[in-house]
Amino acid sequence: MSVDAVLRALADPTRRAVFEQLCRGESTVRALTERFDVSQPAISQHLGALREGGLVKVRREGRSAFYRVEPKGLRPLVSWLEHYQTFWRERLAALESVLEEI
Amino acid sequence: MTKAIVVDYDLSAPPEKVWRTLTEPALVSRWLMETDIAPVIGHRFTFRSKPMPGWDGLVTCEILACDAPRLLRYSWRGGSGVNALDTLVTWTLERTDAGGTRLHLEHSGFTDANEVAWAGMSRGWQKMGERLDPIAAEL
Repeated sequence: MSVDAVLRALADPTRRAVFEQLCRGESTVRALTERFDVSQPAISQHLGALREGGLVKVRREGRSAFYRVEPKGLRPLVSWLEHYQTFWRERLAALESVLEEI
Repeated sequence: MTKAIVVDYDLSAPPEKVWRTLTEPALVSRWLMETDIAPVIGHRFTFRSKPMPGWDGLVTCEILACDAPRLLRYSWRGGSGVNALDTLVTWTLERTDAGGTRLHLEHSGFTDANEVAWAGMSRGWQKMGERLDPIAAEL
């Protein structure tokens, strides 16, 4: 995950609050909806964005889905090395595209 | 102790063409960042990107080795204080039997300090960082 993707995932204040809440422990969509003054679809959308940003993961137990933080998700923000690993892979794919155009 | 990123990338284009995408500013800007690079030893140039928390978006470079179309090396410096980067980017191009290029990238010189850059992040992120201590401990 690049720094951009992580920052995008945390750009919305409610989303950030949901993430911080999950840092305190795993939770279900319903529990999060009850905690924040936001509709359930909105919470689900935020969780989707956080998953896309590699920041949370989900485990299913029967019919319930429990969301929790993925600890390594913040690594691109804290580590230049992590950042550049992803950065160069993305850039080289872009290089390949440019080569096809010239 | 320093660490390096190594990436090997096979391309169907010949080394001469790949060399152009590594050294011509108009082409480099399309896949990497806006730049005034030139393949001349000693040439000083920059890469310019959008600023983000802890980084002004500027990378300062100098061509250290240049041997078309096989080898290109430049310093890659940026940031300040604990967030400072003083690294080296080396591109080596190897012609493959099929007439393409094996592009080898080595980005070296990352120190242990570069592994943890919390201190360089803006205040907002630091506040979150404090709340995330138990999580950060697992990083």
